[in-house]
Amino acid sequence: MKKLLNVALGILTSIGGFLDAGSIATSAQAGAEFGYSLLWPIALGTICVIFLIEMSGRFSAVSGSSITSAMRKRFGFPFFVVPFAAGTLVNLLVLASEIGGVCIALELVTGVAFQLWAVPVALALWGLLWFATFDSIEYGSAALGLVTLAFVVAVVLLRPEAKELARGFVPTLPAQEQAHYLFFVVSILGATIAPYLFLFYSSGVVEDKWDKSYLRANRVISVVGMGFGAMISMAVLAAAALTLKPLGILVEQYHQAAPMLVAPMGLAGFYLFAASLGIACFGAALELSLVIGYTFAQGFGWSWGESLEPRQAARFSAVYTLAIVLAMLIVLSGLNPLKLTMFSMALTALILPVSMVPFLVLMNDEQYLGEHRNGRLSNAVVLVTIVLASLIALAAIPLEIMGSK
Amino acid sequence: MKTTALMRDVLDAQVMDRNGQPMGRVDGIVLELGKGPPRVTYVEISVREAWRRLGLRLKGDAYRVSWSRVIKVEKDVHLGVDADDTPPRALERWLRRKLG
Repeated sequence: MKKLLNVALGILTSIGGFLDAGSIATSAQAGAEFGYSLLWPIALGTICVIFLIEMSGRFSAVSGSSITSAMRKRFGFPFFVVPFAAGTLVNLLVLASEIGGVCIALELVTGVAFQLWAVPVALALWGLLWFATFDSIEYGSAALGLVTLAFVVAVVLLRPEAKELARGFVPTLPAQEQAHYLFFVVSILGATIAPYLFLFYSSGVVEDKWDKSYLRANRVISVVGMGFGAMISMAVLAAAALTLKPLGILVEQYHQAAPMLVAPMGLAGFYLFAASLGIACFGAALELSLVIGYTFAQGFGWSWGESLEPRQAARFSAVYTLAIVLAMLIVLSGLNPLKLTMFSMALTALILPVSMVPFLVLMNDEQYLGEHRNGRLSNAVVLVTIVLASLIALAAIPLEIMGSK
Repeated sequence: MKTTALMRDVLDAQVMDRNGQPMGRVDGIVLELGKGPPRVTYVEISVREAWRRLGLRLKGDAYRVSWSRVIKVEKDVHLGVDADDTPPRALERWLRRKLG
């Protein structure tokens, strides 16, 4: 019974928490510019993320270790610092992207410029982490996150042609704008295979003391939760393709994506877009702040845990506080939050092998996993996807930077 | 006789004190070389020591715990000391005081 509840809550959090600044930004832009033709990277990324979430849950349930802690022990400090530093830097940029997303949502509703929201949003984020109990935050934001299903409803109302939609799942390179298209492929992969998700999930499994008896629950949560979550991401892309593309609207700022729900839903659609953006980004910002804290605490052997009071895990709490302040400063600098997000997603894709290849080595380690270590299929799926993502990123990022000048 | 692989099982492992409180990681291992076989004398808990392994020149001594205080080596290394008053938790203590 308790496991059934765990599975239900796990699926709810995965669906409600799937969308974040990265997936909204990349899907909206991709749909507006290239129609359905970038649905395939979402699908590819989702297959990979299902495998990875399942692995991180399995790893922590069987070994009782968080991924970060095991990585430090297995590879030693001199190697560990590389994925640690790269991961923390990217997580910080992504945290700033999420805070920026919340600020933009507030700007859409109130008309007050987004920079002015940076401080109140950061304070609210910090206050919730510091004072609220974690379960209430997690399930609260997941339940609210279901508002993002509005995108799915919109697509149903817009009646897309099934045949054309299906064609989007076949990888094809367009005749023009190929470099830009590849940059989108990379950003979408980075947004879908977000490494902070695994670290967050793995830490939760350790803290809730899951054991081998949870392996089946873990599998169901990964497949169903991530599968349905990805559906929302695809709906954002399809809605943008159906509403923005025919009007020739290119999304260079979040505001330009806001009308995508207006065509099918009227004024309510505008508010649903803002609510989806705000809630999705706020939920992700909570997770990212914690993940940055976890990475330090687990890597250096401090007390950590979302259910501990700040003074019981003082260094852990200090780290997430500092991370929120730094991310807030990035938003205050006035960078276009959408550009920041796209850049962070591409960077995420670029460094995927740095953290994921060592993780795969752990997943094949008999000492940690015994008979539950990876099979060939899961190794191959993840390895091929992340190496592909990273290689395309290596080529596409410089081209995109040159092209935008 | 039970054997322990120092590099695999001890170095960089999570350290727990006798109350099950986290007290850092094993950042270094000190051996005594004499006439007989080498003998493990200390484990070092100090991030400074970990950075030294990367070749950084940092001043200061590492906090050392005698190997005789190692109770067991499993997933974590368990020590028979109380972490609360030791240097590895100094920053934690200081921050905790600031929080009131």
